[in-house]
Amino acid sequence: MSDEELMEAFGGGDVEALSEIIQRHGSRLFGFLYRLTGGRESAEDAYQDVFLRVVRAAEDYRPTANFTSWLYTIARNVAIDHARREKIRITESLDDPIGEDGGGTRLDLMAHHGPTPEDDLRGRELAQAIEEAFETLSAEQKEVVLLRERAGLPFKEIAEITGVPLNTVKTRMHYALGHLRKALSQGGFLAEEKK
Amino acid sequence: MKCDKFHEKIIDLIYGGLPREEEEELMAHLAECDECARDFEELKKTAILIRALPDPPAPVQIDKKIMDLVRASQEEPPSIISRLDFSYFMSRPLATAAVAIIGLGLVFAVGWFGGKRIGGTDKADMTVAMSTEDLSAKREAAPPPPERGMETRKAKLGLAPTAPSDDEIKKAEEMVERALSASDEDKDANQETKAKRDKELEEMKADADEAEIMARTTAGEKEGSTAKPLILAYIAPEETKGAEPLEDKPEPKKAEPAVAAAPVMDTDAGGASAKLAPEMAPPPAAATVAPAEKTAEPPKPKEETKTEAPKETEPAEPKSADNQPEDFPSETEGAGIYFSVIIPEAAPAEAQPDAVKTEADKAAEKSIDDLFIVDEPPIEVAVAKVPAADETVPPERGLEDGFVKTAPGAAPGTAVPIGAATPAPAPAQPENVAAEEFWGWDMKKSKPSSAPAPAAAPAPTAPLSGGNGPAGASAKDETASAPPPPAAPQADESEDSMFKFKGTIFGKKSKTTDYLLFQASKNMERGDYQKALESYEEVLFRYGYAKSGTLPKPSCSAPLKDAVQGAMKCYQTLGKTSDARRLKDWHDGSCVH
Repeated sequence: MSDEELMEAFGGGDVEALSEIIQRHGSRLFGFLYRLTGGRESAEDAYQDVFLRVVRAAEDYRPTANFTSWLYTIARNVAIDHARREKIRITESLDDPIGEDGGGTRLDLMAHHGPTPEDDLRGRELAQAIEEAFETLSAEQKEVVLLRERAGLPFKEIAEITGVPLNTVKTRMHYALGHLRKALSQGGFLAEEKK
Repeated sequence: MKCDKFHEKIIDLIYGGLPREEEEELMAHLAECDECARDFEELKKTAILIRALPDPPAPVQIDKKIMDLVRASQEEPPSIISRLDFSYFMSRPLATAAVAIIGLGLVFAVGWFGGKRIGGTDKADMTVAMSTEDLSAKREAAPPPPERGMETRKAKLGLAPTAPSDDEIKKAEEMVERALSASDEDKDANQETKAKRDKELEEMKADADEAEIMARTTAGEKEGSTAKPLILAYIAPEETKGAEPLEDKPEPKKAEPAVAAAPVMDTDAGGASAKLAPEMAPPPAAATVAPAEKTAEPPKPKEETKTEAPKETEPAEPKSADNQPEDFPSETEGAGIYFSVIIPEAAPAEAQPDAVKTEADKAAEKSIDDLFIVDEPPIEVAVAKVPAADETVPPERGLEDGFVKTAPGAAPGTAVPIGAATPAPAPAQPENVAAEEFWGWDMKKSKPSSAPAPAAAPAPTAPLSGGNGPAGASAKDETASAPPPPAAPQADESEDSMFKFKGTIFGKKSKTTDYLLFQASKNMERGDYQKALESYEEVLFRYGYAKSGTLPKPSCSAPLKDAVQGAMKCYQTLGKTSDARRLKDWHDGSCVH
């Protein structure tokens, strides 16, 4: 069952369809929001807002567009709302404790919940380097990278979501990748990989 | 220069979408240019690393909360209000306020110019015209201030010894005309208004005459009937619709009032200048509406028949089936005067003891307050008949439904819909349905007389009153409308609760916040914390909990405090400590204390 069909089913009253949608997109969406808002708390608020908006819009949902694109459009708008609200965005430190039990850090999450690198320590360092490099991107570059790499949306849809020309999207992506590449190279990750 | 051209295409090569020709061209360049080849490799690797970056785990508790909310809303569809996102308006308070002010201005403008002087001269004119006997004297001295609805509602019940004579009718008409013209002067009424009123007056006369004729022609058939006809006349200056009700006047089949014994209830509070007396003279007319001077002392036959008045008026206490407030109609609805003429059956005067008579008078006087509503006038002369004793008593109906307000449940003397040939069927008693279907508060049940709440009976919020009593605290806020506690703890909630839904919008019911709190407390009592939590959360969401942060901070009012405390208790009981912590944070941080 496609996302669009699930959404239509949910609009028709099938509550479990929403559960399936959350299961499919929840983690990735949260990652997107987490990196775009720069904090777990903000990401959680935004995450909840996104799905509440999805629920509200369910009855009127028409599968005229890609569901993922629609979902991330909502997510982006919510994230922007949050960013506007929090004029001074407090970026969480990677070493800040996260979770309700306070047992781990953001870095732990990065290292332990993704593909496990051969060397755990190396993986942690790499994840940290990427996160830190990512934080240095501009908001525009960041959203393009996230929409492309995390949401898997094509550039054309990203252009529609962000409201900028396709070439602008590609240029932002190019500069963002170049910026990240530079940061990773300085950390020796790319060179090492190359070796 | 050549490399720059290819740099632009590297992204397309990494992510695909490059035309085959261009791709081949770019690949050929990469084979030649080491720098571009290295850029391509590193950018591709960077992209792969970013893609491989793990996502943090989604907050499971939020997923669960969303699903719980959705499931709960499936069971009880939330109001459209609660589903709307008002953040747009909230974030633009000035614009919203401006729009609201303009809207209100328009409403008032329409009410003023289109609705004919809301609470203004027309109403006053009619009131003055129909009020007391010494009206003319007052008018000569100085233009009296316009009497408002409450004043006119003080009108007393009068009894006419006999049917009014032609002279009496003429006299009354003259008085009415004089009063109207006098009020016109006071109100700088223009010629148009005067002419209109004259026309209306003529129509009223015609209506009265017609009613009289009809009554005379139909009365003879009903001899022996014990039913008392009730005449309710509503006269308003705006439109003369009096003819309609008379035309559709209910058949006086079972009404057989003797002319001589017919008592008359009129608006005259201190000697009515205009009286509506049924012309019951020789024939037991169903009902007639005829302006006439009120006789100072009603004859005995009337008094005797009046003993039934209490029956008619007593039930006037409970609200109408439509739950309209007793002060209805509001001032904005149109001013007018309701004349109610109760023509009881031609019972022998001797049959009624004096004591009963007095009681009846009192009751009738009391009832007149409910029967007479002087406010705005859509012109109507409604004639309603009292059904026979064996007939079903029609229900009390609201004026807005085209029914004349009268004493509900009055044995034989209940109003029937204007123009209806037969009394409307009695509606199903509110009972349990009341709370589910009626709009606003159940005034009936909130009245101590109709829903006595023993002091010993524990309030629904009792278990929570020690700080976790949401409904108890909320009751403080709305003491006026807060419903009494259920008569007994085990009683059915729908019966005991006087809470209602806020309304039905697009077919979906919306519960009041207090009702939600009440439900929650009841569920807490029963130990159903999950259900209680759902109600509390519904309230919390109304205050913006877990909604977009663009909402303004809610003030920590009593209902919100109750909901927070109740939800905290539920969370703790259900072991949802994280939710409890989250709610506490929100309450501490997002509420204006």
